[in-house]
Amino acid sequence: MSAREFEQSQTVRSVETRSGSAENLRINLKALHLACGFIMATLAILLISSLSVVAGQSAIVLAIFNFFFVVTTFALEGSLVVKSSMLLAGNGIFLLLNHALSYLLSGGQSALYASVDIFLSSLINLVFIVSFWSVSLTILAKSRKSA
Amino acid sequence: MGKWHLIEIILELIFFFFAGMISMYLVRHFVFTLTVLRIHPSKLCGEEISSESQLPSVSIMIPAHNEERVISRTLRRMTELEYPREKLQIIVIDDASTDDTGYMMSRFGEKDEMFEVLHRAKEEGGNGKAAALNAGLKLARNEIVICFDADYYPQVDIIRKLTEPFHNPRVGLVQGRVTVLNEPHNLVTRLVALERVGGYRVDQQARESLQLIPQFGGTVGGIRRELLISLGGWSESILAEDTDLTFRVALAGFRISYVNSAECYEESVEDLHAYWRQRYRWARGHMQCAFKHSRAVLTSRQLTFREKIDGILLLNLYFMPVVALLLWITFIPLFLLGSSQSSSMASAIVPVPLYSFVGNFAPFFEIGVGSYLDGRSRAQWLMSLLVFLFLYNIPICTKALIDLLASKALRKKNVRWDKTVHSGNGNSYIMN
Repeated sequence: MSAREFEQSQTVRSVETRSGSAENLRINLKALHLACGFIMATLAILLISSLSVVAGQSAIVLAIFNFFFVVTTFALEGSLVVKSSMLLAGNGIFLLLNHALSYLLSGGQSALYASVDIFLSSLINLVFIVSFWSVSLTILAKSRKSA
Repeated sequence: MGKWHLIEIILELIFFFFAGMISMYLVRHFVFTLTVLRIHPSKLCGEEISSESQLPSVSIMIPAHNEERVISRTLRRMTELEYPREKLQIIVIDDASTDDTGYMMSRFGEKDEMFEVLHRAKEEGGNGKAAALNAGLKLARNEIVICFDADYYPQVDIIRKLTEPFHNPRVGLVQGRVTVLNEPHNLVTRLVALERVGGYRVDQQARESLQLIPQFGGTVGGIRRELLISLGGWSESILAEDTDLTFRVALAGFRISYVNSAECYEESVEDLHAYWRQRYRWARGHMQCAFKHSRAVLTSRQLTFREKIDGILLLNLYFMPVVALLLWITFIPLFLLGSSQSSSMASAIVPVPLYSFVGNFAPFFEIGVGSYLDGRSRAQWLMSLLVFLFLYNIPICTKALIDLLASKALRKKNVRWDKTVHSGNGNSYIMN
C-alpha cells in the first residue's frame, strides 16, 4: 500500500468512526429522552390517580394518551424541555377537561345522560388526544427549526 | 338463559370481533411508526453504486386520456431527466383522447426521437389505464418498464434512483414516493397531502425496512419487462391494477422495493366529488384484489409468515371503514339492551376506529410522525380534520363493497374506469 493510499484509508476510517460515534450519540440521546418521558408519564398517572380525580374510562384514556405521547414524541429529534412541558401540559388540560365534563354531566341518571356521557366523553377524548398531539408536534418542529 | 340475553351475547361477540379487527390495524400502524422512528434519515437518501455502464435500459410509459392541461409539463420534464439518452425510451400513449392531448404528444414525438407516440382510436381505447399500458407494453424494448401518470412531475434523477434496487436480481418491482404538488391549493389538497405523507414516508418505508410487501402504486414505479410479460401484463378487469400487480409479483417470488428518496410530484384531487370518484375506484379495485389474492397469499410458499400477515391486512384495508360502520351499528342495540360489559368498554373502544383510521386509513400518529420527519412544522395543525376524510370514506367503501357484491352476483365482468380529472393548477407551483 502506498503512502497516499494509506493516508486515504486512514481518512475514510476516521470519517466512519466519527459518523459511527455520532450515530451512537443519537441513539443514546433518543433512549435518554424516552426514559425521561416514561418516568414523567408514570409519575403523572400515579399522581392523578392518587388524587382520585379521574376514574374508569378517563383513567384508561389518560394512560393511552401518555403512552402514545411518550413513544411517538420523545423519540423524535427536539428539545427535551419542550417535550416534557407539552406532556405535563397535556395531563393538566386533560384533567381540567375531564373535571368540566363530569361537572356538566352530573345532572342526571337517565339513559339519555348515560348515552350522552359515553359518546361525548369518547368524542372529547379523541379530539383532545389528536389535537393536543398535533399542536405539540407543531411546537416541537418550530422549536427545532429556530434552534 | 333468556332470548334477549342470547341476542346480547351474540351481539357482544360480533362487537368485539369487529373491534379486534380494527385494533389489529392500529397495532400494525403503531409498529410501522416505531420502525420508521428507528431509521436514521441518512439511510433514506438511497445509495448510488452504479456507474453509467451498469445502468439498465429503461422504457418509460405515460398513458393519458384527455390530459391536455398537464401533459406538456410532464413530457417536457422527461426531456430533462438525468439518464443516458441511449438507454431511455419514452412511450406516450394517447388513450382515445378527445381533446388536444394526442396533438401535444405528437409534437413532442416530432421534435425528439426519444418519444414514441401511440395513438389509440376511440374503438379500442378509453377503457382504463391497464388496457392503455398493455398496448404500450408491446412497444417497450428495454429491461425495465417505469410508469408515470400524465400529471406527474418527477425529480430529474428519479430514474437512477428507481433502477438502483434492480441490481438485486430478487427485486422485481420498485416503487418511489409520491408527494402532492398542489398542496397549498385548498383544504382538500392539504389533507390529501397529509394522507400521502403517512402512506409513503411511514407506511411504505416501514414495509421496506421490515421486509414486508411495499405496495406498487401504479405510477412512479418500475418493473422488469420480462417479468411483466411473463405475468401477462396488467389486469384489465381489475380497477386497482397496481395492487393486483403487486401481489402477482410477490406471489411469483420476487421482492418489491420502496425508494423514499425517489420523489415525484402529483396533482392531487381538488374537491370532494373528485375525491369520491378516485377513492371509490381504489376501494372497489382493492376489494377485487382481496377476493382474488387472499387465499393465494395465505397458502403461498414464496411468502414469509409476516409477509402473509401484512399482505392479508393490506389486501383487506378498504373493508375496514365498513367494519367501523358495522361496529357502531352493533353498538346501538347493545346499548339499548343495557349490556354493561360493552357499554363500559364502548367509551374506550368506539374511538379506536377513529384513532386508527383518520386519513387514508393511517392513524394520526403515523401521519404526524411522517410530516415531522419531513421537516414540516405547520401541517400538523390539520391532522384533527383528517377524521372528516375517514368519515367520508365510510360511505365510499360501503358503496364500493355493495356494488362489487352486486356485480359478482349478477356475474358482470366489465367495470367502468372513472378517470381522475386534473385541472392543471399544479403548473403554477412549478413555474414559481
